[in-house]
Amino acid sequence: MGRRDYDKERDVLKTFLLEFCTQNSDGVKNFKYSNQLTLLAHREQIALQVELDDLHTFDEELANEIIDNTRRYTTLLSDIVFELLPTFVERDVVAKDALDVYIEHRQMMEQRTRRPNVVREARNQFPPELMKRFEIYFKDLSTRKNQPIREVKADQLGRLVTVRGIVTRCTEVKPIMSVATYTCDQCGAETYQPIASLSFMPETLCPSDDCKVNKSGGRLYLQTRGSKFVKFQELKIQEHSDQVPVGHIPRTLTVFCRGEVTRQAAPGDHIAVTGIFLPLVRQGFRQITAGLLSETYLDAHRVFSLNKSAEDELESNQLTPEQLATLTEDDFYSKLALSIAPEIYGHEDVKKALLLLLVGGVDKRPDGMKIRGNINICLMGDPGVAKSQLLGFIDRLALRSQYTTGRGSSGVGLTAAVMKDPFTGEMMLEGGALVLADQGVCCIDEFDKMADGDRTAIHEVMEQQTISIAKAGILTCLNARVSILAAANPAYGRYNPKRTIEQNIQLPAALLSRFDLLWLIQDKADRDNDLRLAKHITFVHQNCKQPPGPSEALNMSVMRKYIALCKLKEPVIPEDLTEFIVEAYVELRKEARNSKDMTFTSARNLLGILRLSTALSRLRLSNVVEKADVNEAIRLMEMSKDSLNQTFENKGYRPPNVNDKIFAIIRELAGSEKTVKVSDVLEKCASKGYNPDQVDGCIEEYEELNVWQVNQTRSKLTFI
Amino acid sequence: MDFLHISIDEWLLNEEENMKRLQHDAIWNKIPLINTNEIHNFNNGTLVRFRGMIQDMYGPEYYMETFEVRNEATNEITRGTSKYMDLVSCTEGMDVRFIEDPRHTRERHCYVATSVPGLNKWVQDCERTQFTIAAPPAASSTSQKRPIDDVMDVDGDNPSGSGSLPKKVSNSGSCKETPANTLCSMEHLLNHPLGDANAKVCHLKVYNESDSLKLNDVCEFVGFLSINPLIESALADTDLGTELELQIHHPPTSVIPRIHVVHFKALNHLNPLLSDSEVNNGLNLGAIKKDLLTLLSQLFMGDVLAAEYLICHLISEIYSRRDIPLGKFSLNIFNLPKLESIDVVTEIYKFLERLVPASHYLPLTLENMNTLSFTPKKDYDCNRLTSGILQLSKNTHLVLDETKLQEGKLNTCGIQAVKTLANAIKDQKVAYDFNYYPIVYECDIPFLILSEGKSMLPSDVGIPLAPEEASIKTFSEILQAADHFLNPELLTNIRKYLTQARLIKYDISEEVQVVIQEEFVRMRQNSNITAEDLHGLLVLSRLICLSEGNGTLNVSCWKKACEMEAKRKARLPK
Repeated sequence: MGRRDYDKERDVLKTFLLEFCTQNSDGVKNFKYSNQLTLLAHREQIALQVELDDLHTFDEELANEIIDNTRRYTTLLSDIVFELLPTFVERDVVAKDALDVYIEHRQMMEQRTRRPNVVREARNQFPPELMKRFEIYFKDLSTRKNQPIREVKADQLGRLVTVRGIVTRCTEVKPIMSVATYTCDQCGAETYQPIASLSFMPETLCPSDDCKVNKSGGRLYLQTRGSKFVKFQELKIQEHSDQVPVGHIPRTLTVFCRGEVTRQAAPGDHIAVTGIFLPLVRQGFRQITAGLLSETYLDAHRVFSLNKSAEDELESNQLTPEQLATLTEDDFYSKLALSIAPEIYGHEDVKKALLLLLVGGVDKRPDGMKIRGNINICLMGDPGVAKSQLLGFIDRLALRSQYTTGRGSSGVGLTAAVMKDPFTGEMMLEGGALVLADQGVCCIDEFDKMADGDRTAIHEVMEQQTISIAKAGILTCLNARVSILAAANPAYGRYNPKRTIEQNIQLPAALLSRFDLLWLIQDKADRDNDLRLAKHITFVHQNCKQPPGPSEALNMSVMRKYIALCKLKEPVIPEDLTEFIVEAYVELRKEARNSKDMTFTSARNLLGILRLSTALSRLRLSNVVEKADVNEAIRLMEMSKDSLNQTFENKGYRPPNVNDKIFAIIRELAGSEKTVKVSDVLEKCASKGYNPDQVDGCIEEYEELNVWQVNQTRSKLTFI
Repeated sequence: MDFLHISIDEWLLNEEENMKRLQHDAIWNKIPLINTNEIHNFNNGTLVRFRGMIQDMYGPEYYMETFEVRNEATNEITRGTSKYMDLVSCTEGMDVRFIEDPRHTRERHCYVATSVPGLNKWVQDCERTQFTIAAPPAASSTSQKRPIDDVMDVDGDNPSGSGSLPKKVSNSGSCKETPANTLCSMEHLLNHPLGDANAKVCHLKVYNESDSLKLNDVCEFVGFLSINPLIESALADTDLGTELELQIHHPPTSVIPRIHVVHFKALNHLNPLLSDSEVNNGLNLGAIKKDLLTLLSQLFMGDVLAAEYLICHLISEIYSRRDIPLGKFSLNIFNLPKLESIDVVTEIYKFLERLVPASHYLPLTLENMNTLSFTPKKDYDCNRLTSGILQLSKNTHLVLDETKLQEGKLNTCGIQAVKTLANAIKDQKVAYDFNYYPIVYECDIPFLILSEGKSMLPSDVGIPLAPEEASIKTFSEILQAADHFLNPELLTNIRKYLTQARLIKYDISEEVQVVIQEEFVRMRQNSNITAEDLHGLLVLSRLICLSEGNGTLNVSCWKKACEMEAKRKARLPK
């Protein structure tokens, strides 16, 4: 490895400081660093932060060299700045503190008493550390990633690193001596001692010529006023929980902050620190005995706190192209759905609905009115059908979420409470679960057992997405833009299909209609399903892993990132689809009137369809809603209705099989006409949740029964 | 060359070769085990063995792999290393020179290992008879026991120069007091999960493959002992960290020795009666099971079904952990009779602790719930993980005695304890408290809950005891008889049996799978059986199968599992 030519680099850095400039949009050149130098010269700025990004564009090799040997270049740069500064002084500088005055006095004295060509002994000269009143810091390249503390190893010693962590301890800011000044009691000469480490050995014998020649044995006394102190703070940072490998203990790292870098963080803060990873030099005897061990620390150059949202953003950007490719495969919709609570078998449609809840629809604000985009879902069902597990999973998966039970919440409850501060006596608002989950998901278990006060408040939350408070003289409106995922148990232990939902759940219709989807999860014996379940479980026990199903479950962080990505889209419904949606809605209304439905169909369902369709197109990362989205939305809605209605179909009369149902749809579609287009039939049936194979089967069966005839190209049906 | 007395220099001379020789069981097992031997019987730098559980992990240490020593008299330069050493021996007139090149700085990892928590007495006795060294090697480590300050005075021309030195001035404001000699109590230093005062704790310096070590792993470590008393004073005197932290991280070597690990291996089981190689010896597992069943059913006052379940519980272990832990078999035996003179639960536990290698009995009294710390918690003042009861190694049986619980008020700590226990039983996971966030660690602790009514804690299987009237009356005689029945030979066999049954490789054949699937579908039609129940049945039939010494599930075991479950469910109060 060739030695680096520091003289040459000195020149490069000098030119960089003087000439580096950025151009703004008007073409005006902004000399970033030379402007700062002027400020430094006038003592109006202390820290000079050199961005390695800038240097990288200026001289790539040098920037990399700086990262490898930062300490060296910090001194180099500080010497350059020290040299340059006098040329930047434009006016007289007013002394700011005692040290300024002190330095000024000494300089004046020197000019007065010394002859210019006599060289003073090095010890008695002013050390540059004392004269430098500025600090040099580097800002890491923005392309370099934050490292986990674990990855900072011995080979990084002396290099500039950026680590991320949580502050677990920080000392008070204390002054630390950087230059000690002594006066001799015999000759009065001043001696300076620059100090780099945490402890130092005080000088005792005067090294000046007078004392040495005369052997007067002058003693040195420390001068507090003439010594230079800098602010010093010691931080301890610890790894984030997500950076700790399974079964390991989080690592910690000591960080030394000096000067302007101090007071940037408090315990509990999430921070990123750029600094030089250095061994702590032991001195004297300790160095030998301690087995040449060295403690290490990070000499901080830049400390900045990360808030949670910034980190979330960071995460969503990290989705690699390969991951994205697998996520945009054909079956991504069911794959994503299956990755929700993979340990719970089946319930595919419920999982799909939950997926849409996580993604959410688009908020609309026509003329100041607000129409929510959040999707609310209520899961009902017999005890022990994994409702709570589903809720728990969503709670863990969602970026922001609150899990609570209707009963279990404290005095603050679900909404908000006014509290009296015990110290000041002031009234304060304290948010409940719904407020805390703003812009996220609020999972409420045991929804039916909710306190009455909360239940009335939840009406407002579910449609207006706000909470109005009028308590103890505080009148306010809090945002609660939440998706509500509720789970409720039937009132009489088991769901009684003969009663209506209101009776079963004991919730008012007004509240129930605010849910976009209501699912009844039932545990019924079904031969095929049971066999598949049994196969699944025996496989798991035999091979200790999930069977190689159609798709492997995605891991949670990938899901999270993808959902965050989806939420960035704002899909719109194109003009030509409106008619289709309106028709579908009218259809739903008509059906609800005709069949003795246990559910209700209101204008809210139309909004529900819109929400679900926009969520679906978000899921495709598309900005336009397509017909397929609407069809799927309607299908989900039908399915959720079916889950409520199917229970009593089995009783009394023969349950209509698939073919019967499809026939009824076709009959209806035809109306008074004699012919129907097969394409229309397929579309219609798709929106009701039947696939083309089933439709074909139906057409064939009824053709055999001579109910209708199909033309040669199989594109038209004619009733006989 | 006598391998057992190899020095660090000799080891380093031919590290590869020596490592190979070490792998031989014959040599490995001869290395003195410091769990059973007193540390002061060993010299600094001898090769020793330690069996323990990783209790905490400290940060990495950096050491100089090579450095230069210049002899001041002859100007001769030699190279040295500080690998496997805490201190570098440096005689007078030697000048150590550093190589200021980061390539010579290496990393080693520092772990705290404690003797396995809950290790039962018989295992310790067994280890003692196997591994205690008869004649202690001559101890000659007294010469260096002077405190460091003395050395400095005597050592006139030590490297830092002039004779009488002024006290160093701390640079960061407050001057540190010289630490009071005992800031921490012994117990505090040992930091044992179950507060065992006789526990042995070591600080391990691991050089290779340290990533494979996980918290709470039980391993056997071989390495060079480092008990030079200079260490504490030399290392503790730094500018970093608080006093408390330094005390904890550099405790006296006489209490907590350091071991520089050259090699380690994970232990499959803790049973000293079985070595790793002889897992398949010709024990008649079926016959032993019968004897064990007789014994346990007597202890349960004639309840054979409960005894069957207990055997299954004793050999249970988690065998898969995707999404849900499979194989856990926490057992709640309730409806225990209350006897005037005898505490049934402790009597039963007395037998259990003679059978299994590691176990712990915990009476769930109100006071215990409210005061004991169950989860380990990071102590940022001392910078260490303060242990809790639930920091147990794999397969350590935790017996919870709920009959001791009285009516009263649980405080927040108690409520937290109940929650933690419930989570540990349900998910076999414990969230360690790191103050700013919790980190979840997996555990594998078989829980046995004994209670009067059905326990307030969840369990995989709950069975009410059905004691025979006659047995209740003669329980004290039964205990004596059982003790007599458990002769040394049978005891050894049972101990071997319990460990061995757990280690059998298990498999479900295709045919049996089909039978099970059909059966499940049939059961679904007839009654309200869920997926959970099927999981439970499969785990139970696996355990029954293993308890009989079979590695492949057959239909009879499956049938038996179904029968047992049916019988048990019939007993449950409606």
